[in-house]
Amino acid sequence: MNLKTLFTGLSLAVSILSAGNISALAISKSGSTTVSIVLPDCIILHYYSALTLNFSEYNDAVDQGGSNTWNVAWSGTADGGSQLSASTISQIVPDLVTLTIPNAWAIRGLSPSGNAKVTLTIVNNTLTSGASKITIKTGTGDSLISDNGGRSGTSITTSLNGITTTQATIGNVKMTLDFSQTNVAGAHTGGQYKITAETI
Amino acid sequence: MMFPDFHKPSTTSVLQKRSPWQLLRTVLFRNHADNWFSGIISSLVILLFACSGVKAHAATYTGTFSFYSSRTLTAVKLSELGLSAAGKANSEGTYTTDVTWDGDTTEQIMSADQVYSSTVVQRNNVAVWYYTYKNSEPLPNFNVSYTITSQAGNANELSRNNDSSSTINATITAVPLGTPSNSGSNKICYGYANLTIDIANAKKSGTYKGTIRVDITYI
Repeated sequence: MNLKTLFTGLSLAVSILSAGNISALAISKSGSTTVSIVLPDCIILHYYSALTLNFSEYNDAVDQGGSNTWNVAWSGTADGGSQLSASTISQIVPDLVTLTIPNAWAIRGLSPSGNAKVTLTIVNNTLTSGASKITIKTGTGDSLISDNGGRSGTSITTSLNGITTTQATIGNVKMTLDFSQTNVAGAHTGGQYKITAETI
Repeated sequence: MMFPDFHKPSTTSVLQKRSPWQLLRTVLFRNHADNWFSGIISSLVILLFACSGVKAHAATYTGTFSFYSSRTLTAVKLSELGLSAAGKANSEGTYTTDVTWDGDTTEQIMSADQVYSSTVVQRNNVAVWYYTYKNSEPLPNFNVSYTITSQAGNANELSRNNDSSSTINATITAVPLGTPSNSGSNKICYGYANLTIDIANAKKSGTYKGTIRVDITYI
């Protein structure tokens, strides 16, 4: 093989290679961009604007027990035996009733921590019907809120899971009512509590 | 030094009358029959052309690509979600329950009425890249594809900055290339994309981030 043949072969090979390149001319470029967006704080509190508690009727005949002997004169006076008094009547209906109102509030939304602070405040602790009163107790542990995760108190930190209804955190209200000054049946009104929810 | 004859216009004129095979033989063989050094040069020239086939083509388009390193989208507004304020108290009406003297109550289901109108926001015409080229050049026919991933690498998501526990869905679509704008002796062609963001899965407020990858192919 002389030089001429060699270079001819080389040139032919090169030409074929060139043709191959020409048929694959697509050019690619790639790049990346960081993208960001800010979501705002928001919180939605679901609550009930009116709460009606219907206590069950109560009637019963209470056997105070024991047989008593009374001395009865033909004039109609009687003595002896034991008389019913406040101290001797058995406590059937309690003065204090502690109740929990389930699913009384719900929150949803977005916060920096993913949590919210929920607080219960008793605005007016007295329900009245004339002179008859029912009092919402405000002592330690008497009235508080709780969530379904087991947190409870007058103020709790609970999850704020997002804004959809399925992500809502649902909670309860616990109240202790004092009936010691209640002397009539029927509606007693005027009590008020407030639930405050805030992003944290 | 002698240069290959085909660099001479007159010779080229003659070559144009021949078949490709004749042309090749003329260039590679006959014209250098008496000068092997010219043969080497011509071979090297062709070899150079062959090896730089892509570059030779790319030389048709000498424009440059630029990709924005970051894009900060307009923050989501409460009004876009149908909320008028950051805090909203929504009454669910009246709660009525029977209570025993032991304190037992009957449960009422919290309906948690819908308050907002949408969880989806749109950010259109987000400039992601641009191509700068000379006025005298044509604009290549670009084929552009976009993908978007969270910081954790999950497709079609943005994740809260440094907190992958909260994510939002994001989809990206290409916007057809518009008319290039003039910039002195150059033109600039911008590549835009539309982003659709659904915050339904978000658990926290704050900044969400991800990466847009752009792949551009052209001929």
